[in-house]
Amino acid sequence: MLQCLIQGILLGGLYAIIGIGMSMVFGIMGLTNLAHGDLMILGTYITMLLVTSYNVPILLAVLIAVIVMAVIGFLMQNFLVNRVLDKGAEPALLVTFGVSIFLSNVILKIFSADYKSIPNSLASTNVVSTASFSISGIYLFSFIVGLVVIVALSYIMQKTNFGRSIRATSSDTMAAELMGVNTKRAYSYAMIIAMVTAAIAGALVGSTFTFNPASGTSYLIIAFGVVVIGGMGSLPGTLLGGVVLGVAQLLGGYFFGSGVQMLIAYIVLLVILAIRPNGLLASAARK
Amino acid sequence: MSMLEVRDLMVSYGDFQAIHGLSLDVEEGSIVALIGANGAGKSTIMQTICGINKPKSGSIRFLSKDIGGMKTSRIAAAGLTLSPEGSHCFEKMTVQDNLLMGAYLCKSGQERMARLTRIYKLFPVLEEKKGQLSTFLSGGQRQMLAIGRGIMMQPKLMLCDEISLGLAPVIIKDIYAKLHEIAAQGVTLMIVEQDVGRSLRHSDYAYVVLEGRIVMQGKSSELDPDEVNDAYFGINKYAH
Repeated sequence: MLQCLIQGILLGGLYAIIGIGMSMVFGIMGLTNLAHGDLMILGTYITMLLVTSYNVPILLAVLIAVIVMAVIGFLMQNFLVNRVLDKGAEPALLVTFGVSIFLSNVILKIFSADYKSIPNSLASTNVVSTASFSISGIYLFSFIVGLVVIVALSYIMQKTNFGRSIRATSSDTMAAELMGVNTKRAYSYAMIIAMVTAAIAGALVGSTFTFNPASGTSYLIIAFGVVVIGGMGSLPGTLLGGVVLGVAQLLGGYFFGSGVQMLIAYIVLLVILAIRPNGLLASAARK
Repeated sequence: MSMLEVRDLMVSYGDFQAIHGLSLDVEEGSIVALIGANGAGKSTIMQTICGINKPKSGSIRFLSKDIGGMKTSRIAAAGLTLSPEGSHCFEKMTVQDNLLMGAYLCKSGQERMARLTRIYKLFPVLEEKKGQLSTFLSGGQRQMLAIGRGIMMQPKLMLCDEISLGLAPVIIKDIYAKLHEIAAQGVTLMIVEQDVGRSLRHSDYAYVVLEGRIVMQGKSSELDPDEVNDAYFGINKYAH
């Protein structure tokens, strides 16, 4: 059980970084990005392709994936989402739904439906190994990366001129424009940051688990869970949400069998929503 | 040449035409008042000047540059901003972060802090509340915050829309005193006000707006408040 608890917490770090981009985009522009999971998996495939087919070192591969995803994020925001964002939440939601279907089919066409993985040395190594528990290298690494990304993002959002301008845009678009902020551009930057985190999350997911083109949807649901538990738009809430979901999943698996572990995780989600409909740390969030 | 030149401006919302060929001038270093009743089009004029509404026709020139139809953020970068009606503070940000947003275009952190110090000197109450979220401020404090935020930009021209709306007389007096201090520092001001007497007392030049047209204008010291009142309500010769 201690093993499940520790592994659940570490898995939570991975879940947090999966959810953080989605949470940020929702917090800033009120957009529920249904393509978030597929975009993340696209990042996974880019990293995998570079590592397995072109023998690129994994860190360089992740860096390239981050850059490619940042460009895709900018193009998607600039040419699709920004065009419809003024017209209310639904048109933008449908755009992201379309992007989601498009991406998962493009990935299917190029990479086939087979399960793949990103080979790496951390996945099979235990960094800590005692009688009662062991810690897998990739889980610990994911957790640390998740933590670093969240702390870095919080710092950027709270303390820098750039972060302030994004928060201001989210708070009052007209007033932000009056202060000289190009608000459409601010949204594009926010999406770029979200896609950078998605690319990092994608590489971690691909190094930890096997994946196929349909995985995007399952990770979208996990991202949803994380973001909803933590409170939409709250960065520390994302970490908390990830840990709650990860621990619930693994402890659920421990007590009731691994076949129902996701079911247990989502029952916990429903219970939390019944008690705190806005999520655990919603006070700092948008709505 | 005037700092701001509006010529034959027309603005409409869908089929409804709000502004009918309006022209006005703002001289550098002056305080210009727009006087008019609710719905006369004062806010529309201000919002069109700073790019929130797009003009249907006519021209808006600021410092000899055509700004008609430009994006609000670019107009702001040219040195023209608006303290909007209802203050529009950034609700979930602290007072200090609100003010720092005003200096968004200033890329030097040191300079931003220097401006902040000056604003706190002008509005000491904002310094007392600097760590609070702006949503917890009183109406008067929010208005001061919106003005302070605008001044943080160091604009050449600032438009102030309905800064006295819903405030206690003592607060209004205080805010107008601060406006004169701001004007003395070299910021040209254009104010919208519903109170005729107050508008004339606090401005150098005034325009009376009725149904989207200028019906009277002149030096504030030379306009007769009674006649302005008639124009304001569209009585007698001012009616269309």
